[in-house]
Amino acid sequence: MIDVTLTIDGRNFSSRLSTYSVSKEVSYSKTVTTINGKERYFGRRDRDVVVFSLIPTTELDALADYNALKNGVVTVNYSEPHYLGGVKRNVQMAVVSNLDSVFLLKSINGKVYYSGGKITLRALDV
Amino acid sequence: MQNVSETYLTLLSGLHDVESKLDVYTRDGSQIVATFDGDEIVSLSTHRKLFPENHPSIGGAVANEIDASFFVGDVEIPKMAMLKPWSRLTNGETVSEWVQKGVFWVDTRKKDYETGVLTIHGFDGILQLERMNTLNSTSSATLLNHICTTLGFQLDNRTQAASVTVKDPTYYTFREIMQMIAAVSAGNWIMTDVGKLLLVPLNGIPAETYVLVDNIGNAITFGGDRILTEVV
Repeated sequence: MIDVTLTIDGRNFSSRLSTYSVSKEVSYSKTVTTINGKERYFGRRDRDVVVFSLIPTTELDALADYNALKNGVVTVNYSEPHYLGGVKRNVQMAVVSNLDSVFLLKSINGKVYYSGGKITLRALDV
Repeated sequence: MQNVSETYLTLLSGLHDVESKLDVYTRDGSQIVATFDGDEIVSLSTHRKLFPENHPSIGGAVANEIDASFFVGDVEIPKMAMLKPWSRLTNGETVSEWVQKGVFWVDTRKKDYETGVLTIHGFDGILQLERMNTLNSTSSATLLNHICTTLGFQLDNRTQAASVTVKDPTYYTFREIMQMIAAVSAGNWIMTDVGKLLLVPLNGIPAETYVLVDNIGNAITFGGDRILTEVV
């Protein structure tokens, strides 16, 4: 079991994590290029991106996980090693993975199965 | 036309890059404030026009314009600062001399405080001719001398203005007087790349020829004779 915290909209994923990573997505609001081709960057923004996958799970858990993620924008508590205190709390994040490709939606029996794919959450604020 | 070195002409005839820099002076040009090079200049362009309209005419005095954006840093650009853009050619190994591309004065400016890029627009000395004349009726030569002395300009020695008496010029601006002189001389005033006033006569524009030239305008000869091309 990985010793990290991950709760999404109140549902705890911590104990069922298979992989987990937090990275910074760096972007700049402006890039200016001089006539000599020299680039200068302005307005750096670091945005947290959480990527995780789960261990094989039951149909019930898969359905509950799917329901916790399906809203698109979720409230997340997650471990961030570079953050003072270790855990960032109540962070608004967007689910940017295609959930239908990560969770298999079986229309015949109406059940959801987790297929083992990675789920990516991207912070709304920087 | 400025004299340039053989190196410049050789580079111009081959594959080359153009390097630019911008010198900023105080308004009277007596003191240089800063020089911005290609690592600091984001864009630099000048706009030139001989005729007031889009067809050949006489009696014009049209100001050239400059647009420039550059990282200004901590430099304080003075009000109505004088600007001198320069360019030179290089092929990576050889570099030509710097060639001046005009004299301008800052008119408007706008700074992006996030990036520190200053964007300016300016005009050359023709715009400074918008000043009321105080001399009475006199010869065109005297008026030209008075205008140049007042504004600190020099006449290009190729200028051949008609010698006439300008009657009652008191209520006219310098520019209007210059336009009158240009009209009777069948030409137009411009400010040259080195910042001198030049009257360009309409018949002084080179006639179209059918002589075969290279890409910098030198006639290509065959056995010492120029080659004529036929237009079909």
